[in-house]
Amino acid sequence: MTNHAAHLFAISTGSSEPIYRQLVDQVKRLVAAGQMAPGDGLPSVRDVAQALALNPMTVSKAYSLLEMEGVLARRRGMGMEVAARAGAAQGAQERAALLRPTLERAAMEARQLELDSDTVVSLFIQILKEQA
Amino acid sequence: MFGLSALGAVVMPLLILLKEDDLLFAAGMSLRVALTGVVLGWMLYFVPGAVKLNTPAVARLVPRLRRRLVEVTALVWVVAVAMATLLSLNTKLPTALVLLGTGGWIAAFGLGQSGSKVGTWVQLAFTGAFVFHRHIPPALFEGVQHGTGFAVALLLMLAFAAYALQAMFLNGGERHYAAREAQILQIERMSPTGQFRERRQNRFDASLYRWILKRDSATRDSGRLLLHLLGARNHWVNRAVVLGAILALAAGALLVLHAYGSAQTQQLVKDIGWMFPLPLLLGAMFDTEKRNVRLKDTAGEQALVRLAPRLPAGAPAFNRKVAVMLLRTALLEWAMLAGAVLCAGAMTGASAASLFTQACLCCLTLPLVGATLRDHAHRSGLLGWRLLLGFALSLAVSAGVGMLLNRGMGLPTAVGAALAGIAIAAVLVALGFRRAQTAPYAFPAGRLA
Amino acid sequence: MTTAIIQSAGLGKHFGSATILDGLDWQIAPGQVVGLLGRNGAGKSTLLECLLGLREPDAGVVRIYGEDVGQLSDATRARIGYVPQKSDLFEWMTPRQMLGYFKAFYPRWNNAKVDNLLLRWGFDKLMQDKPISKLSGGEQQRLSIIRALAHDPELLVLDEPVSALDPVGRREFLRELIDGVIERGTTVVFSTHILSDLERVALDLAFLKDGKIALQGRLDDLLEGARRVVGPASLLDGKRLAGELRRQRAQDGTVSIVTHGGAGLALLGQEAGVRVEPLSLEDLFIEVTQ
Repeated sequence: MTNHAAHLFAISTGSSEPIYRQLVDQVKRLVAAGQMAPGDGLPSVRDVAQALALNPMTVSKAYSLLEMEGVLARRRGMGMEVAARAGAAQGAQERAALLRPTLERAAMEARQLELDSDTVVSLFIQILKEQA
Repeated sequence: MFGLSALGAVVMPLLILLKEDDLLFAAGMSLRVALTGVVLGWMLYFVPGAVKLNTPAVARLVPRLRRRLVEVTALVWVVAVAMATLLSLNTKLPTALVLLGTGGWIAAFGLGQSGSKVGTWVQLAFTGAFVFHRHIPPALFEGVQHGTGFAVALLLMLAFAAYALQAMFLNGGERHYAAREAQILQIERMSPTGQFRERRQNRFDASLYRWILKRDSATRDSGRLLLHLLGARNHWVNRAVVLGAILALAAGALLVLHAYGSAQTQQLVKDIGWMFPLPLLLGAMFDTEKRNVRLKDTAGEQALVRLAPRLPAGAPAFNRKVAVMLLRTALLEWAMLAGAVLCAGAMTGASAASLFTQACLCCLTLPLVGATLRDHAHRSGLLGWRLLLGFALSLAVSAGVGMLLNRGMGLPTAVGAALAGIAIAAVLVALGFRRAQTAPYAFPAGRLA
Repeated sequence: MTTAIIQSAGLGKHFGSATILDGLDWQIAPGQVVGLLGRNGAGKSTLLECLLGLREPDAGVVRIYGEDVGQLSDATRARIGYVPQKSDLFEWMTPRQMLGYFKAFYPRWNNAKVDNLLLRWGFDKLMQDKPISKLSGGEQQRLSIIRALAHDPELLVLDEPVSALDPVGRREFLRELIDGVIERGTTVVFSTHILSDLERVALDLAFLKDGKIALQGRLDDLLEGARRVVGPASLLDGKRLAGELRRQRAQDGTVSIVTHGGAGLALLGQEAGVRVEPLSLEDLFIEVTQ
């Protein structure tokens, strides 16, 4: 039951992704990777805003979105914590959904290179085998 | 500049022709005036520009440019000195002295123009020697004109000219950077608006201003705080201090005169002494221009003050307040100048009647105070020749009225003129206030016209 | 709907024959943090000055807190803080004197904040007694910001406040902005070229172009919606995309369209030879203001 500090997060400006979305994706990845366990406390909006020099409303928006999606839960009076069901029973379905953006980018590139689906899939399987 | 000298070159010989009918002399005179005009024009326009051009970077990276500037300057100097010498061949002035004098003085002037203090001092020395030449032993003059004395003097002059050239167009390096600031400051002062800009504060002024600012900030009087937009050295307290110092010096000088001077000098001082402080009043003209230039320069500061509370809202009320404060300052400074003039008059032992005349003459400069009120939104910066013209006009009108009243009612001319001056000033002030009501905000972020 | 703090209707301003502002309408709601973007010379400074009543507009009306800007009351002026572009104002005074001078004008003055900021931002005792003309550009700007924040304004208008500051200075400024200003619900309007700072702190953007607010909205929405669609002319020439900003034709016959309504472009992106790319704020700025 660790309370995470604000420097857990990092954002980059100049990207095409809004900052709140970067925060949301980061939290989701951290939870999926197990670095943030259910019940862990998240840094307060103010702390994150101060550490990353962000508008507190942006952080607040990211937290609210995560709360709505069930990744975070509001602690009684003391900020946010990782929701109980967030990490544990994250089925293959949910985890696969996290992979979707990366795969979509790869699919777009594949289309630009004008490769057919079979070539792409067999390449992917080969890479997975190499990395296993 | 060139126009003026060309005009002079034509007018003067005509006048001389009319008076003395000596064609050669007239031609010589015309040439002299023309030459002086050209030299002065060159010094006032070319030299500052050239010095500004010769930045440390340019001196090192584009040496040819610097060399060219140096060559041109040296050439003009040589030509000017040669011509002056030639032109003086026919006159009563000793040629050698003319040669040495012009050579040294032009070099010193050029040096002074480029911001070097040495130049200003040498110029002062030359002017002093010229004014007080009666006090310099004639033996010195003789020695310098012939033989070894002349040779030595010539070498000295050439050495000085070379030094001046080198100091005007420095060749990069630390010294150049260090001197650069002084150069720019001096060049800025030579320009018409630059003359009225704020000078650097010395320590006394700085501590005085610190005291004034602290006192005004504590009072929270928005009117007084407004005046700080005029800058650090334009506060009336500065003026009071300066005038006090001048009066003290004058008093000291007069005491010395009393104790050690001859009876003739004392009588002379008593008779004409009252005339000397009068030019002080022209300082009122300087004041008006100075305030205008300051208000033009502090546009950014004015914006900040406009947004501060405690000042009247709305353009008419704001303008009125500004007008009132400016008028008060102008009147105060005028009163101090007039007071100083009268004090000096009293010190030189002028009679009560004479003092009264002086006071009346002071009133003639009141219209300048009235000219301080302007439509700051639309126009600012120097009034320049308009101020001069207006002042001359008001003087003429006052004098006219004074003479009329003298003839009509037997009133002394001075009193009549003074009354006229006061009336003109009152009219100007009333007009100024009327304009303040209708004009846009006195301190717009950008000048409207 | 809360009443806007700053309301401008039909604002117009021209210098000689050049029209700088042309029928500009803009509302700024309380608590908003708005970034004003525009090319150099587009008139951002002029716009901010007109909004504060420092310049007389040639047309239109501006109201702050419901009052006409030509007649702001003392109370309203006490709520406004302004950082102008020129930072070397009052250069004959020392920082301490300048702050004391302004303190005399304002009813509320946060001495503790001023002292704290002076210390944190590198104004030690020595520097506080140096005339402002002797300070570097960055120091002057920092001082200017301190002066604007000193009376706890509710409306803060900043005109390129950090142009001379190094990254550390800018970060410190952002921190102070977040902590001391935004947290208190102050409305902030600032114009800057440093887009990374804007992305961090601003929630709304407004682009000034051709004398009007060409595009405004929430920063997040604009970024999410901004897309560049590149494809063959045969396919794209006929199509009209929602929120289209610019359409360009390249030499090889492809057409590039920039739009900020990028929601419904998924289908278009699946067609052969068509690329749909997201845009960064910098790209969006370039596309909008050209």
